[in-house]
Amino acid sequence: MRRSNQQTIRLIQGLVRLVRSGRLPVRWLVGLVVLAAAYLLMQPLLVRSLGIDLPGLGDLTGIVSETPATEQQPTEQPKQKKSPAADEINQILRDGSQQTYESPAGLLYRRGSQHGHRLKHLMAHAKDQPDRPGQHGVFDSEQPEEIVAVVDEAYRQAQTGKKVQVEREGERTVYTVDLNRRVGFIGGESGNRRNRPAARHIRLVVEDRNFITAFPYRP
Amino acid sequence: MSAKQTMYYVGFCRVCKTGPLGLRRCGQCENVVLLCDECDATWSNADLAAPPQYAKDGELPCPKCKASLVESPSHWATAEQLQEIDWLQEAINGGLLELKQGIAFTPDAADESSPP
Repeated sequence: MRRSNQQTIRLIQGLVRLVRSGRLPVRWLVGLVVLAAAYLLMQPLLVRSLGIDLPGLGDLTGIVSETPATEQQPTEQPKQKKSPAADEINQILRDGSQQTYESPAGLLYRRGSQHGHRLKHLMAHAKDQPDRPGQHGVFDSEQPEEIVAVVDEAYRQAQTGKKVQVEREGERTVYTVDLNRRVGFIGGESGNRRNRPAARHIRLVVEDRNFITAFPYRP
Repeated sequence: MSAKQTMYYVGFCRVCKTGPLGLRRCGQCENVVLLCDECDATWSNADLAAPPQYAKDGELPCPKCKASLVESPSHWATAEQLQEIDWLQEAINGGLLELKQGIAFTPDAADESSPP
């Protein structure tokens, strides 16, 4: 049985014991159940409309990890060998290589932009720039490979036409892709004024397969 | 990290919907264009309904003299330099554009966020 289910059953058993012993009136129990149900229904709505992170009921009952104790990672992990893609990315980001990087989904990151390379430009969205005018979409991850992977995911989803809005402006195609989960937040002057609302969309600008820019976005 | 650059801008890019439209001055011919700080779309004047120009093969050439708008000595125009731009002053006086001052997208942000 999943750990979260065990925790929930233990919580219910505790409440039943309290009712039986008379320490918790039945109407209070009913009230608690109604409140929990209302919270369950309202939580996703509040997260979406207010742009704030609210814990699920699992979080409130102290259920943090879904990983069984027996499956927990050993403290000393073997050193992971870097993938060729990571090497290529590092050459561009750290060593200033101007080579074109092709992502697993087929997006081409070429030299260009004020950052000198589109991959560097993408990584400028790994950190907030609170004094940048307007919105500045910031990815939750700061790891180049993870950010490239999220953009790839958005690109692949855009190709399927699922939960995507497509705009064309000359040679450019602009996808607004709903990834249906938090991928970052809105920073910049505007985002910081609104307490950095969560973003679950990616706005991706391409010319054919050539990557121009991508960032977390709230339509 | 380089110092933050001040940039005058006149609104936001309709293509990427996020980049401020900064006033960029060509280092060679001193022409001033509207350049999206995010996606590099460029407009030669206040007609933002016109199709923008885009970077080609990684280069962002000045529409007038073809020198690079990214490389030095091209730069974000200063307030004094903007006073000399007729089309801009006309658009501001006519209420078509509103001039604001902000901080440009920091090119070094990528270096800060890349792993050691």
